[in-house]
Amino acid sequence: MSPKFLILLSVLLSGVAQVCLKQGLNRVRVRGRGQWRRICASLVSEGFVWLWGLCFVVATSLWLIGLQSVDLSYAYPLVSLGYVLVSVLAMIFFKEKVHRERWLAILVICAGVVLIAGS
Amino acid sequence: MEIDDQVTETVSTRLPYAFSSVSTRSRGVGFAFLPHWKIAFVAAAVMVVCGHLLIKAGLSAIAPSVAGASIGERLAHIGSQQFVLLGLGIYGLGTLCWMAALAQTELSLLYPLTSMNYILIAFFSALLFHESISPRRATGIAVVALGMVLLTRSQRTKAI
Repeated sequence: MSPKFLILLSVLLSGVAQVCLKQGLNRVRVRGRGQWRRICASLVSEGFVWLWGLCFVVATSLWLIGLQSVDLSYAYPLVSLGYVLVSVLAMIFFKEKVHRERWLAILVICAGVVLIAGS
Repeated sequence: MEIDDQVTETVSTRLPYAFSSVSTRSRGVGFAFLPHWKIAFVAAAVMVVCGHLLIKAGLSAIAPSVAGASIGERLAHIGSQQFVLLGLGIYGLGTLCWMAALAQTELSLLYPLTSMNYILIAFFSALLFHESISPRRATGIAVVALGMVLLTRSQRTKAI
């Protein structure tokens, strides 16, 4: 696989990881006393949290391997692609309403990341 | 609403967290004892960046791995550096703060906000390693900051 593909895959997996974590956290229900112990117990027993960990480890490994042969200035703007992906996934899976202002804000951030990476 | 009040009462009497008096309505039932998501998010960003900087400093301080060393040997070599371990620990704490923030707010709002890490990295690099910030990079940082302000405003206009 080409290093550029590895970087892209890593960015996409990082986004998927965040969706898994959010889903895992959504399923954690906490009431009343002894919250911390219960939170830890339910986090550890939640499959989606483990899926997040797996995606995170694989994505980080791919990122490190890809970065050995790709410039950081090329790789970083691709990270902002992840913001768009995550927003789309959040619309689909969590019924989040992403308004026009929010898309505009995400585009502005993408532009800023491209500027930083090119400097 | 009943559950909301019950949780708030339990929390404010049992866990004297600084921000537990904030209304639980916008933050989801059952998470009233967590710090407000903005606080948790900023703490996470600072910790993750500090963790990265410490890991980087630790990696620069040790000799490169011997060529032909196995993955286990390489990891043991890297893991023997104190700064690397400290950095990893702080990074882990930052991840917990990130979870605390993510549990309370929308993913499409929070994930793009992690671009704050670029700003923090540039700031700390200039401060600690005396790296110069080019005009183009300064512009990029300003544009990212503008985007973040727009993002948080997009949250304010919307009732959760």
